[in-house]
Amino acid sequence: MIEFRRVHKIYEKNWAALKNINLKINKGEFAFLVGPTGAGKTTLLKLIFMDESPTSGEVIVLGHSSADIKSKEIPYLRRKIGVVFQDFKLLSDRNCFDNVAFSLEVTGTPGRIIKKRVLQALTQTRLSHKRNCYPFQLSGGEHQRVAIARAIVREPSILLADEPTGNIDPEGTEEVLELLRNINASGTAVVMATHSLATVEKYHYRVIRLDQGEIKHNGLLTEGNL
Amino acid sequence: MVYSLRETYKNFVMRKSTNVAAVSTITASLFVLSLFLLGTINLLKIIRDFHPKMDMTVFLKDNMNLKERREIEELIESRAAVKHYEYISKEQALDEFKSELADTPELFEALDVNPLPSSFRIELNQPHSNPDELIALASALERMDGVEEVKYSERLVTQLQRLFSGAILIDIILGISLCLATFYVVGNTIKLLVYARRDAIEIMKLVGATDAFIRRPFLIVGLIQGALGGGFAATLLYVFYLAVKMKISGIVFPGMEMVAGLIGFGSILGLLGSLISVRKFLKV
Repeated sequence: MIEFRRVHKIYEKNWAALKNINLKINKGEFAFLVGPTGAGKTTLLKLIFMDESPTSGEVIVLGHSSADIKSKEIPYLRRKIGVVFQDFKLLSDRNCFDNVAFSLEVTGTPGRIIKKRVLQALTQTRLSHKRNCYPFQLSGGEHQRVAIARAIVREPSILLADEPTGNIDPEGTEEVLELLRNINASGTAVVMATHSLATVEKYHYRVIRLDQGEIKHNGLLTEGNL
Repeated sequence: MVYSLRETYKNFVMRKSTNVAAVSTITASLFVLSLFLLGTINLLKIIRDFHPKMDMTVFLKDNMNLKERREIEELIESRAAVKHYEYISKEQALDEFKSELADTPELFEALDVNPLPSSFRIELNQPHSNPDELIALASALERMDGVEEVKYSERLVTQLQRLFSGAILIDIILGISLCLATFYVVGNTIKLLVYARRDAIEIMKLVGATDAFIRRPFLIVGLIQGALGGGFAATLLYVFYLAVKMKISGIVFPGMEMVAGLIGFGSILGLLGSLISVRKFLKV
């Protein structure tokens, strides 16, 4: 489903964000991406939804290779990938319903389908009662749940979460994690970047630890390997 | 399309002052340009209405033979600048001269030979239609055997040519300058709109909106700005025309063609301006 083959990503001034990354993430898998700030977690996620392209090597996502994908094909690939961020990226002038619907509107989904699917996504994220609320009326956890609803409303095959619990309280963190686990249980592969060791230790999922752009650990967590 | 129109509406409402500034600048640019075009059109009309009858006379040598005369005739017939021509023999020329000076017949009593040359009298098409050809015809005739001299209103033709060429040149230079100014203003408006909508654009890219979809509302904004600017410029021009008409009778207004042209040209300018800036600032 996701494969990195000898991927290097070098930014300006010869700064290597990722070095020789070889990685496979399978269908329906849940993987944590951990590492200190600047380790390359966000770059790795960006390579998956092709917001960046590798300096060398190849990233293959849902059958599309970074080596030969055309720029006009990227939007269609992104429709199969949901992305959530630490800073939520909600539109402040739209309520919850419209924020989630936005994701379908801009991909040309007919209005009657939009309504049905948005309400389903809001129900799944337990926000249907707040569908008319604006972002400023929501808590941090609720913000992130709206962002997740927006990411899953297109029923993606992959969900990427970049520090989704970084800006929310412990209670909200629990809710978001439960939600991501439920989404994963329905067959969506989830890759979640996090700083939180407590979160990683609590769930027995695969852990990919990055440090200075290199994979230092790739597998289930055992004592002493973090 | 519903989404694009809604976004276009938002872009207009969100940045009212910017949009008003852009439409005003396009209006001013197109109004100035259309004023010069109106001037050129009326200059053309003046030239057409008031130009003197353009004649060319080709005086022939007395010793010209028939073959030379035939060749001269062939050359005259082949030129587009020639509307009509006739051969005036030495005798006809003398008769005309005598009839013009009928009050003083004693002038001719002393003449024992006819001093007037034979000639071709050529009536020309309007000089502004092709002054270059007119000058070229005169030069060609002067080089031919059997031709003594070619007379025509050379100075007037070249003056009209210069005036007309000058007006067209000003129109072109002004047109290009004002197009660039319009591109700049529309471009800046789009830049501000892109900046104001950057969050929405980022999310659109994230969720898989195509580049064309993201660009479309901005292109529509540019198109509408241009069309409005063109429409306002046409209105101002018509008001100007009505005001001038009261003082200068005979001034012409090209009518709906000018209005449609200004709106169309404004729309194209607005669309191109926004297309350039959307490519530059949107980075999609």
